[in-house]
Amino acid sequence: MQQRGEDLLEAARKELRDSRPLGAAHHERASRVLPRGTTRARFWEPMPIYVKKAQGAYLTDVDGRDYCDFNLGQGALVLGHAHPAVVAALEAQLERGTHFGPPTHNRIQLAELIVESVPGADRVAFVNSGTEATMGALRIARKATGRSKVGKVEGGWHGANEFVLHSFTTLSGDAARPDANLDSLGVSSVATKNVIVLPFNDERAFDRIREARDELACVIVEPVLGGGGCLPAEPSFLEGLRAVCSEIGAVLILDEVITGYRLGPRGAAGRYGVTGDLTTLGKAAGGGLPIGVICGRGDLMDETMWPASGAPGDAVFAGGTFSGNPMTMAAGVATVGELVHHAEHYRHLEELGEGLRVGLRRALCEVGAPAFVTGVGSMVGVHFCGTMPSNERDLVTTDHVAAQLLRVYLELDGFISRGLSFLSTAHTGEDVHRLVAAYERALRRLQTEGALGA
Amino acid sequence: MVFHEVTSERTEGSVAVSERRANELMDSVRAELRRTRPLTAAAHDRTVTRRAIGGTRSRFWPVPIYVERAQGAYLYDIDGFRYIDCNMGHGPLILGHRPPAVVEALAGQIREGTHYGPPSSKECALAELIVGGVPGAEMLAFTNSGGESTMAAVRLARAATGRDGVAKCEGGLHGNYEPLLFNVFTIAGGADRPELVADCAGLPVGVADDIVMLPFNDDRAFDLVRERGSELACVIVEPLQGSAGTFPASSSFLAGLRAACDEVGALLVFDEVISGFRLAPGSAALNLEVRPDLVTMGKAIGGGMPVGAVIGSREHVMLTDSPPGGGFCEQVFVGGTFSGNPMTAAAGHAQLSQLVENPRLYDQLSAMGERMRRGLRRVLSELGIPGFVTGVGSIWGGPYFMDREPTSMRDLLDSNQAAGTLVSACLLELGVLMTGPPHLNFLSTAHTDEDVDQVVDAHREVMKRLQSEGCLP
Repeated sequence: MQQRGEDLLEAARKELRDSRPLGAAHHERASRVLPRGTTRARFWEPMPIYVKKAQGAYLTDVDGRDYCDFNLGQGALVLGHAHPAVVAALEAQLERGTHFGPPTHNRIQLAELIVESVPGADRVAFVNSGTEATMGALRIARKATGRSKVGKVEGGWHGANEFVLHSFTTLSGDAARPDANLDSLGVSSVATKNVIVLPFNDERAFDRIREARDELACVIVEPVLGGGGCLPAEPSFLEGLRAVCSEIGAVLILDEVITGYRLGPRGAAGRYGVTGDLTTLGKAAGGGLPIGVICGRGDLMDETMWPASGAPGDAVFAGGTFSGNPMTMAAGVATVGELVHHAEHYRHLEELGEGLRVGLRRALCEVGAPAFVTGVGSMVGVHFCGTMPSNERDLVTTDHVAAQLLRVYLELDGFISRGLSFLSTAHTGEDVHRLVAAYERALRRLQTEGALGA
Repeated sequence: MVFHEVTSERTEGSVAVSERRANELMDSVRAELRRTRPLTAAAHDRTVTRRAIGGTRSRFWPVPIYVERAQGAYLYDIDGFRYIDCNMGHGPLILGHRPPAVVEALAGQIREGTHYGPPSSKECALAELIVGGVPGAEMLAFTNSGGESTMAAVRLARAATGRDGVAKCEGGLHGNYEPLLFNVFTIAGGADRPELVADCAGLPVGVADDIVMLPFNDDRAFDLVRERGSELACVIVEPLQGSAGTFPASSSFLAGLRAACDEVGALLVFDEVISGFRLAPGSAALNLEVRPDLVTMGKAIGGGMPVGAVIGSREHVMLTDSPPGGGFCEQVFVGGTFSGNPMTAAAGHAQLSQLVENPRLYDQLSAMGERMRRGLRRVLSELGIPGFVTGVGSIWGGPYFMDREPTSMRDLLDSNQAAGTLVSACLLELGVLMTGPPHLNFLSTAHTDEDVDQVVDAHREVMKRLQSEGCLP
């Protein structure tokens, strides 16, 4: 079966190369200076397409082929590509300059939009990426509590921050007390000693947290596991985390890098009715330009980031040349302003998401494919695993070869959809129907090739 | 941002001035700036209310201004005042604000989408230009910031050596990666063996155990590297320390670090976030005998858009890639949603193309930098103020008001930082923008000799005023 999978992948790679000669040539050239042709090759095995331009819900590659895009820059583009309001805002900022040392007015505007919309956000600090946002949030929590350890759930993704980069896909140990397994080489053992891994959607996490009450600075959690497979937290799980963090005096960090401004104008926090002490944002908040945001309780952030004492060691450092840069701020203000002030966008996104989930379930059922559909709002996951997954452990039986082949077959058919699909306001019901039909074709092909287990 | 020292002893012979007097004057300058710039004052009050901060960078500005627009060498605040920009976005804008090639590239890219999931066709061309500028390099991986690039470099070194130790220099600012946030702004212990001090609150327990602190531009660093050699994955050093006060590393210091690294089997990392494409069309190593194993860059390579990169041999950079089908634990994780995004790639490529195709621009930049340094030194000497100006090429630091010439941040402890802060604030009134101490300043090809002379003249006027107010000798 494994050999069969590899043969099919090789055939798919050849098909990609043959049908996209310019892309293949570019891949070869790019592979000389970038690891396997791009900084993020692992997402796009066996060979990435190379995008030339994008508009609305569509990408065009260097071979001139169009794709309906359900990846949207890993979820960042809630308004789709090159939305007129974002284009206008960026063009206006470009007239004024792209980057300055001192701040700009639009930084204040984006901060105020965030304060207005994100539950519990009194203060806002901008950084360059979701990774930098979680790094800063952890430091605030450690400084505020005087404790060092971080609780994170299995399957939780919080960027390249090594003090949480554990047990994302590498799972082991008792389900109630998972081991902390690093998800990167080149990280000091110091990091692992500071991580406590919690089971997701499992109330035994609360006891684990209580046990660690003297050393736990914070718990960081995505309300919907994103990279971990589009698995929503049970409301009771988030509520339980909120309660137990308050009980032991740990900081609850909601990592809404993916869900912020995607699941609603107030993010997942608004949807679940759970408020973090700190919230991290990224992706959508920057309107398609690099961004990370740390926001949260005023007392917490004031005391840690801007303490009365002037000594550098007393303050949480979260600097960076481009933090709060005016281009990102301009795109962010345009995007967040549009989303927060037009509730109809989210009604549209909900309909599309629900339509896609229902359509995919029907397609899977008709084909008889052993797969499950997860997700909420405009986030949709498809999993080739044995049971309807509710946490990362349910996904260990995932057939990754089938999933990868499916993604490539969709690409060959003109659709970009990784295991986790995103929708934008630029998508239509028709786009969703076409994606469902494409999934059905791809699934049937997998079936014919004997690549679908069971 | 001011320097701190942990010990309370202050070297005798520091410039004798009244810090109290300087602080009083600072209050009145601040009040005057608020009075003349009401929109700026209102914006600042709104910022303070919300703490709407881009990281913590606001600390660089003794008095905040808010930028409305910029063009070439000039920046205009929201009250309509014009400034000669000596900061250039903390360095990236080497061709000035809005160089036509960059504007054109970005204008096109904005309409073709700012960000994709699959790679853009532009990432490769920027990578080629950068790799081509680093002697011995073959590949790179992009990140979103200089800080993320040093994080990537340390991880690559740790993975390549199987060791956890990292040595860095006092005053070295390498972004906001936890293991590197020690002794950035703070001096402690003796130069023969600096004491570790965290310059960021909230670092995890145990991080310090991996760190070896070295004095900068001081041969005693080599023994410290050897002493813990078997634990060391890498030594990271800026060929030009920026945030510490604009001090070039001496070639003997870099050669000594190279030799010590080779001896103990550690990698030598050049953090060139500031110096990359700023001093030469590529790495500072182009002008040096010493070759690093890894180089980090940021700032200039993004043409004014957020960027970072780690550059090195194929063998090292390929560690970021897991074998096909391999898991996360078989690779050095580098990356992020926006890494290699097309806006950065377009702007960076437009900027670097100009620099690579016209290497004489660096001669022009260096000549202007020299004119600035000479001019400022002349002012100090004319006015009889003991002080120094540092820097190289288009970068300068100071004026540092002190008695003996500084070669590292340690020396700057003796400088009169209150007066330095005041200089930056008073210069605003005269239409010159530069950060407070340690005054890391940048020129661009958009600046002219006239701009340089105006900046020098403004310094003269400000220092005279400070003298007459009793804040400078």
